[in-house]
This record gives sequence, C-alpha cells and structure tokens, in this order.
Amino acid sequence: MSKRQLAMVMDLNKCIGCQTCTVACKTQWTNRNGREYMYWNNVETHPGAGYPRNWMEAGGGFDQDGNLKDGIIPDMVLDYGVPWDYNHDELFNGSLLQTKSDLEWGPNWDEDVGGGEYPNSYFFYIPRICNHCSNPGCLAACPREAIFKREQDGIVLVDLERCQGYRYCIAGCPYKKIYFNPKISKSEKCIFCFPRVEKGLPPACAHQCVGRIRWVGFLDDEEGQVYKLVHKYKVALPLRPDFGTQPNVYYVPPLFDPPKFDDNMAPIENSRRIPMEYLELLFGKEVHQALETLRKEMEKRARGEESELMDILIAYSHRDMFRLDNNYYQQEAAKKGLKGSEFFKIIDQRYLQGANTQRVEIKDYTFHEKVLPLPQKEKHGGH
Amino acid sequence: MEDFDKLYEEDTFKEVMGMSKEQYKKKVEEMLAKSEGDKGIGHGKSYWKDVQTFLLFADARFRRNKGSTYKKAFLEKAKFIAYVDFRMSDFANYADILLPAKSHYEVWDLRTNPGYHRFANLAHPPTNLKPVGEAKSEWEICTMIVEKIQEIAMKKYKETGDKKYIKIPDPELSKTGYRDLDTLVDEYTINGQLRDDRDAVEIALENTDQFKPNTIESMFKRGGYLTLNEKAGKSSPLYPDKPYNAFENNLFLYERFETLSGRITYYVDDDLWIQEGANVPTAKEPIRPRKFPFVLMTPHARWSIHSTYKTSTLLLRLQRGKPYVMINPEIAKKKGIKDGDEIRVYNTLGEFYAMAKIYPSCPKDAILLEHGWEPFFYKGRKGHNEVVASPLNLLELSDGWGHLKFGGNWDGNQHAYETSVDIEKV
Amino acid sequence: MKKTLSLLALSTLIISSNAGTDNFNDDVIEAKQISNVTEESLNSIPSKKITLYQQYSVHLNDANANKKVEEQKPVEAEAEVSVGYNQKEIGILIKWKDDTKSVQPAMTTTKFGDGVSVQFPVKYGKGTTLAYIGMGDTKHPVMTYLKKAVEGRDYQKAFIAEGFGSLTEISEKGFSFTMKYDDTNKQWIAFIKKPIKTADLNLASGLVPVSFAIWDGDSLNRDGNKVISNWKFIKMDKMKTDPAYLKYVSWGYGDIGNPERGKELMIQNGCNGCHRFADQTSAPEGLAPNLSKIGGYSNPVYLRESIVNPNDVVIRNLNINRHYNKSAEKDKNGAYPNNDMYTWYIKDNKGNLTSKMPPYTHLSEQDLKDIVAYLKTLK
Repeated sequence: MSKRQLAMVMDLNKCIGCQTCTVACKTQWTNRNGREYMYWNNVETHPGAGYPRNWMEAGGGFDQDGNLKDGIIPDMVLDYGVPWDYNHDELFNGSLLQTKSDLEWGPNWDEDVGGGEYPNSYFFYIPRICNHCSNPGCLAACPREAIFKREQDGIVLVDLERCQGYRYCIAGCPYKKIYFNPKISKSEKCIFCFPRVEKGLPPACAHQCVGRIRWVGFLDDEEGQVYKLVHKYKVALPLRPDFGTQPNVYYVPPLFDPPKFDDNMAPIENSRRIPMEYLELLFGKEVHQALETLRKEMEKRARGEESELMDILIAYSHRDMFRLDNNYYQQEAAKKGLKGSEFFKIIDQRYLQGANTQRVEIKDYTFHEKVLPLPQKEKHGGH
Repeated sequence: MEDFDKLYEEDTFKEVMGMSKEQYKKKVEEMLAKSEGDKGIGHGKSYWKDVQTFLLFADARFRRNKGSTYKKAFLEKAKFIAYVDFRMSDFANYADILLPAKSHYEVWDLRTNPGYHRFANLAHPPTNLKPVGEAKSEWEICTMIVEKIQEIAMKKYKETGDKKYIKIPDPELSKTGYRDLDTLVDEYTINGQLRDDRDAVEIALENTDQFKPNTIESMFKRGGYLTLNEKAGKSSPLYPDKPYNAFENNLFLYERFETLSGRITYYVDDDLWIQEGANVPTAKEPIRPRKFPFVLMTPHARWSIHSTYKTSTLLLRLQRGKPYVMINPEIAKKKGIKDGDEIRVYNTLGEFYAMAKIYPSCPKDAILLEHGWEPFFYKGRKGHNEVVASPLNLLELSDGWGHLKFGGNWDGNQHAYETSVDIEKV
Repeated sequence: MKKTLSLLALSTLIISSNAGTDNFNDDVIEAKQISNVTEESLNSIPSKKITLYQQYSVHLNDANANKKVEEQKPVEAEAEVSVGYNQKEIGILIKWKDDTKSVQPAMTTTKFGDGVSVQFPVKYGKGTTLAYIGMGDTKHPVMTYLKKAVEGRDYQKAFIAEGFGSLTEISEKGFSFTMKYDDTNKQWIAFIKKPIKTADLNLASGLVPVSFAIWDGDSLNRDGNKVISNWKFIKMDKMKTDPAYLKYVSWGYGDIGNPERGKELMIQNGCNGCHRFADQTSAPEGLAPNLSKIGGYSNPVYLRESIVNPNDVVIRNLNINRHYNKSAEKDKNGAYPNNDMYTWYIKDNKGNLTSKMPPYTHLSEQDLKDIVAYLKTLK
C-alpha cells in the first residue's frame, strides 16, 4: 500500500534482555501524557505470556481468507500492568515502601521464566515494536479510517485528529502493539521514530541497542543488509506470520541454546532445549530453512571461508546496519570532502542539534573502528 | 554469635570447617583481640569499636549488612545518625537528621574506570536545572558541616579560652595527633578552593596527571569526555591506536605482579589458610544447616544497582514491585504455591514474606531472591537478612602476609551459600 | 454483476415497529412552542416513549463487545423524549433507564462511558428520500450531536457525516448538550439545546426527521456498538406540515402484507446471497449489511427505497481494508490488495458511487409490501 517499506531485523541470538531499547523508547516517547503504561518497545521472555499478557491469544489479524478477525482489548491492570509507583511520601510516617496499586502484571512480569525443567530449562528474549505491517490489522479495524500507512516508507501512524478512541484498532492488531491513551482518549503506537528517521537516524531502540542486534533499512534496497537478511539469505522471518498482517519487523531465530543434560548431568550432543515446535509457532515452517542456512554459513566461516551472512550478523558497523536513505548521507559527506566513516559526523551533528540541545562540535569523533590518537599536549593554562 | 549458635548444626559445621563451633568462636575473638590498638596495620583487624556518631552517605545499611541482630546492635550503639542521600532509603528512617543530596545526574562529576577503558566522562547538571527542595551536592553538604563545626568550636573556645575545644586528640589517625578545628575549613576546602562539586572537578582536572591537559571547557567542547593520557595505564601501556588491555605490563612486558612470588599466585602459605585447607583454591562444602531443604541464593538484582534505582520509574516496572522469590515449579506444586502467592521463608533464625515466582531455571534444592530489596519492602520490615547469621569467613582475618593486605574498605566476607530455609504458602 | 448479489437493504438502523401496534403516530414526537427553551420547561411537555435496538448491520471486531451483543439479545432500550422550541432555539430532553452509571475513567483501557446522540438529516422534506440511519450516506449528509460521560472532561461534540468513518467535527455556536445521572430513578437525563437554524441545518419545519442513539458503557458500547432508533418525526405544533412529505414518510406502517411470503420472496430473489438475516447465514459476514435486526431501526419507506432504488442511499463500507484478497498477488512490499468483493459499491473515475445491489424494480407492489412486512419483523 506504500511505495517503499522501512523494515527492521532483530537477531535473537544476540538479545540479552537488557531492556536498553525499552528504556530508550520510554524516555523518548512514553514516559508522559497518558502513555506511562505503554511500552511501544518491550522485550519479553519466550515461551511466556509476554506483554500485554497473552497477546498471542488476544485475537485480531486476518483469517485464512484475508478477513479481519475479532480480538479483545487488554486490560490495564490484568494485562498491561498499571504504571505503578511507590508511596514515598508515607515513608516519613514509618510506613513500608509499597506500590500504590495492587499489581497483577507488568511489562516484564514473567522475565526469564520460559519453559522446560531444571536443569534443561530454556528461554530466550524477543524484543517487540510495532511491525508496521503491510496489511495492518489496526488500520483495517478502524471504523474512522484514522490509521494510515505513510506513502514514503510504510510507517503506520494514527491520525490523532480523526481518532475518537473507539479502540477497535487494539482488538484488530494481533500483536497488541497499538495502545489506548486514556488521558486523551485516543490510540497511540510506535511511530518507528519517524522524526529521527527523517533526519537519517535509526529509531532510538535500534541506535541504543548494546548488543547491536537491530538492522534498519528499506526492504527494496538490495545493497542494504536488511534486504540481504530478509530476501537474499532468508534468515530473518516475521513473527507469527499466521496472523496474516505481513509484518515488517523480522527476526533471526535463535540458533543457539545449551544442550540438554542427561540424568548424570552430562551434556547430550546435538540436543536442543528450545522445542522446534515453538519456533515453528513463532516463525512458521520457514524457520527450519533459516536455521539450516545459519548453521551452514557458520560452519563455512569456521573453516576460514568467506561468509557475507556471518559478516553481516557480526554487525561491524552502524553505518552498514542502518541504511535509511540509501546513499544520501554518503553523498552529502562526499560533497563536503569527508571520507570513510566520517559521514557519520553529519548524522551525529544533526542528532546533537536537537531543539533543546547545545550544538556540539565533534572534532575528533570517529566510530569504534578506529581509536583516536591522544590529544596533542597543549600548554596548560588553567582557567 | 547467638545467631550463629541458633542456625548451625554442630556436626555439619565440624565436618565442613574442621573445628567445633566453640573453637571457631574462640578463634574469631582471638584474631579480633590482636587488632586492638594496632591501627589495622598488623595482624588482625581494627574495627569501629567506639564510634557513636555517624555521618553516612547513601548507605542502605540494613539491607547490606547481614543478620538481623546487626541492626539491633547498630541502633543500640549509634547515639546520633546524620544521613545523606538523594532518596528515602530504608536506613534514612533511622536517622536523626536527613540531608537531601543531589543525585548523580544533578552534580558535576568525573566518571572513569581506568582498567576497563581509557575515557573519563563529565557529568554535569543539565542547563537551568532547579534542585529539588534544598538538595545540595555532597561536596557542598560537607563544606557546610565543616563550617558549622569550626563555628561552634571557635565560639566555645572564645567563650572559655579552653584549647580543648579546638584541639581534638586523635592519636590513631592524625599525623599530628590532633584535629585542629580552628583551621578546619581552610584545611578541608584547600583555602577556599574546594567548596563544591564543580570545584572538585576543576581541581581534579588541574592536578591529576592522567587527565591532563583538560579543562571543563575542553571536555564540553569535545562532547563531555576526555581521553586519559599515557600515564593512566596502570597495568598496561596506553596506545593511541589500540584498546586498553589490563595486565599487559605483567603478562607481556614481564613486570612483577604485586604478589610475593611476582607471579599470579594460587598458593598461599599463611598459617590460617593452611589450617583451613585453603592454601590452594579449594571447593568446600557449605556450612549451611542441612535440616532446611533450600539454599537461599541472592543473585545481583537486574533492575537496580544493589538497592539504588530500585524505585526509578524507568526501571521499577521491569520487576514485580515487591520482593519475589523464585521457586522450582515442581517444588511449588508440592507446596501448593502458585505464581503470585505470598509465601513465608523461614529457618530457626527468623522469617520473611515475599511473592512467589515460579521459575523453571531454579534448582529443586534452592530458592532465588534478587538482592537489593531493602527491609522496608518486606512485611513487618523483616528483610531477607532475617534468616542469615553471617559468620565471618576466618580467611578474612588473616593479614599482613605477602599481598594479603586489606585496606580501609575492609568489610569482612562471609561464607558462600551460608544458609538454608524452608518455605510455605501463607 | 452476479445475479445472486442482490438485495440491498443496506442500511442500518432504525425504527421500531412493535408488531401489531405498528403505527406511524408511534414515530411522531409532538413538539410544543415555548418561550424559553430550558430543561424545566421541557419537563412540562408530554414525552414520547421510543425504543432503540442494537445496531446489527455491520459487524465490529471487539470480541468482548460482540459477546455482549449476543448475550443481550434482543437489546432494547426505552427512552422518553420531549421536544420544545421557539423562534430561535430547539431543545430536546431525553431520559433513559440505566441501572449502571458508566463514566469513562482516566486510567483504564477497557471501560467505556454512557452516552447519547441526536441526529438530523441536513436535507429533508418533499422530494427528499430518507437518509441512511447510520450516520447518513453520500447523498444524505446528517448532523450528529454527541454527549458522552467521560471522567474529567466535558465531552460534547457536533459532527457532520456522510456515512461510516466520515464523522467530521464542526463547531456550532449556541449548542449545548448536558447529561446527568439521576441516582434515585436510576436514569440518565440528557438535554440538548441548539439554534433552530444554522448554516448547516434548518429545523424550522412542520415535520423534522430525527433519530437517537444510546451507548451503554457497561455493555462496552461505543461507535457503532450502540442501540439506535429509526427515524422519528418531530411535529412542530405551530408550523405547517407538508402533506406530500407526510404521506411519503408514513408509507408502509401497519399491516401491509404477508411477512412469510416476504421471506420466501427474499430467498427466491437471492437476497441471502449477500445479506444475512434470520436463519439465512450463508452469505459471508460483511459482504453486505446484515439484515437480522433491520426492522428495529428502519422505517418502512426506507426499506422500500433500498430495494427499488439502491443507488439512492449508497452506504460507505466500514473500512474497506477489513478484507484483503488472498488469491491476488502481493505487491512488492508484501501487501495483499483489498478484496473488492466486500466493497458495497463501484466508484467511477468521477467519484460517483453505484451500489453493487441492482434495483429490484421487477418486483410487484404486493411483493415489495410483503418483503417490507417481513423486514419489519426482524429486530
């Protein structure tokens, strides 16, 4: 429905569940104005109920024939968890420090629970943002047609002028990644950080990721790593493709988990703890082929041969991981005579020149690829 | 010691430690007695025996120090407590005076950890930030306290002419044997140069060789950090084009390690260590009582730094809001416990209450509880330290041998997996 | 066009005809001229009891709300309406029973507030056919006035609309809408007052169509999830009624035909190929409006018009993206195109809409009456 489509790939083999993305997103967008309970980006433990609780059973999406399915709206207390705080004021009266409301669930309630039996228990993390689907369930469900997909990049947005807070979009999204803002009585959702993207910066969740598990780029950019992971090597798969919305966030499925132990606590060779059925449920039948490709390429690399796929997954450089505007920034840099990774200066200057940020002169800033020479010794003049 | 007696079984203890409980206690007393009056330098340990007035900074002490009797003993001994923190910690409730501090992100500071990397970051208050209430930086608070002490001392001295008000004897820790309260402010602030947090950063930049050449302005210009110069490499040279790797000096350039042998040392021939069977690293059975089925393990909390930031709105919603204990599903089923139930954790020493979290990765003979929960999170203010006795590890008491030197921060370590408990649904 | 795709019926909403007492006068609200349009003065005007039925023409996708719709079958609500007016203003007082007062609270995601709305067609009178009851249609814009119980906010709005999804907020000077809950009688009392004439809407006429909707927050009502009335007619006591218009809108009340034969005729004519009604549920959901409760909120003349001249009231689909075509090729971004089968009309390049339902002009007058007689029983 859009001319181009921005997409994100996340490598689940590298996600450590540190929630840096969650906090980056929260700080940027959802710590205020009725959005406090929302996590546009969350990281959840699988197998698990996730956030909101049991979202995979909450309906929405499309059936086999392409018709929108009914769904439910998760409850603030039972499924999302209230954005709680402590009774700090009462401490002065000798009270215990307690939450102001009773808690039933939260964005990380079943952290690390997973499945299996000790010592063969297992779990892995899935970070989730809005999938910016090609056939969005939220968009289809809105009787007001208040949700739209941007022509230029396929980002799915809510027109807050038109939204009347009916919440059918929440029932319609099978990922439950659109939220009701009770303060303004309108729906809100992950905006793929479009104000950043328009300036050539990846979404905050991707930029801040300490494990460097996220790639961002246009799906039709054949030089881009997103394209290569999704289309060329087919190792990045959409989550729950059976929901029928054609998601544009793709996951490299978990290839590694510790082997099982036998009764004598000896590892069983070639055993996997994560059941393939669960991976199939999440990523469809294609997961077998994707894991096979990953395994083969890894072996190839282990033999000392070249593997473009492994090089991509190592995530050497943000420059290659985030390609938002094809070569726009490289071209701009060339005009200014900047070479190599120096083009990143332009992006960082823009980044640092936010409305409320002082302009920072980036003199000797380079990326991690090259460590700086020590600054020249200057005469120490005091101050 | 009472707790110790209550918790441990004589036979288990003897089997593991090679000595009876009585012998152990005697040994500890003997070692501590050695330290009397030796300023903590020779054998044995000095400890804060006679201190009655406390000025404590950000120390959620009753979470940190184990054993519930510690709390009782501390509060009996402390005649006056002033407490400085940016948050109401559990301990703040016991203070006579609370001094509100600015938090880490409201003050000027230099952050670095040479040994891991070669950068120092400049922390500074955001432009136009208004302090919360009367909050001040810790530097300012200390300057004000020092000024007040001098003022009171001088007033007394002028009224009485008695020098005892300005010359306070301190034979142990002062070079001159006295604390001079008439020049206290000048001494503390280096003649007025060092009065607040920003002064501290400037002085550090001017006087620390490893930071040179830098000023606040130059760091600002660069985006808020500086690169440590070549003098900062303590155990490795600093190269302009390579990351910092610890111990290159010793491993590749063949400098001596700071051990007796000059090498990485696994063997310790201290008498006590030999006696304890620890002269080479040796795994030993834990001393915990066998009559309770579950080891209590308290791994590092994920969403706080110990107790700090447990209540940060950004992080708090990533946990469950109150202490929760992770239990193996099979055990939970046997005990009729469901996820979210309140459970009682107990042994002969005491008990505490927490929420159950059913957790397949928990062994069947242990329960897991993230540390960092302060007593005020628990029912009846009874925290997880209620069920531990925390006997000192005897090895901690050996000192003055080779590289076994312990500095002022000595905080005697205890035994690993030292306690066991049982659980029940409330 | 396939022959089976037929019938129309589209519309959605309205009217009540209690079998047996199906009388035009039941749909007429007598308005009195008064000097001051206030809540007190309206209280002294005799009220009219009206019945509202659950909207069932389109299926919305909130599973929990839909469960309530089925549980409460048949959903009905009764309201008492009084109307007063003078040269400048018109006021309507609406009272309805609601045992559970629901106000949309500030910190929940699943609670909805009670609410009420009043709707007028922008154009009416001699020669103008009745608008689709569900927020009008492209040829019949409506004005809708809405009041909802929301915590911490005075939620009253005026909209202009031309069918589903087209509600557009406008500001109207001199319009006010209040609602308050009477704890003793367990009822809501809503009072709307507005200028009798504005640039968009002139209500100074002898016979003014009006319809009502009520939302019950407890039943998860909002948007199309609501109970609605058919078109009622406000008879202004001091103004002249056009006899031709009266004759037009009062067509088809009473015992006009044989409902059983009507049902047979509908099956014979293939109406059930697209529409669902009664036990006829073979048509895919959403292919055409569901007629199962159509009698509750449609006036007889509107039903007739919809059969013989479906292009007069072409209703916008509820969001056409609700169905995509699985057998079509995906575009380069992986999106399936919408399934045109579920679009209720064809749009030409000038933007004119033609209903996919053909005009059933071949039906005899008695056939039509029998079919309308049958549709009136569906509620």
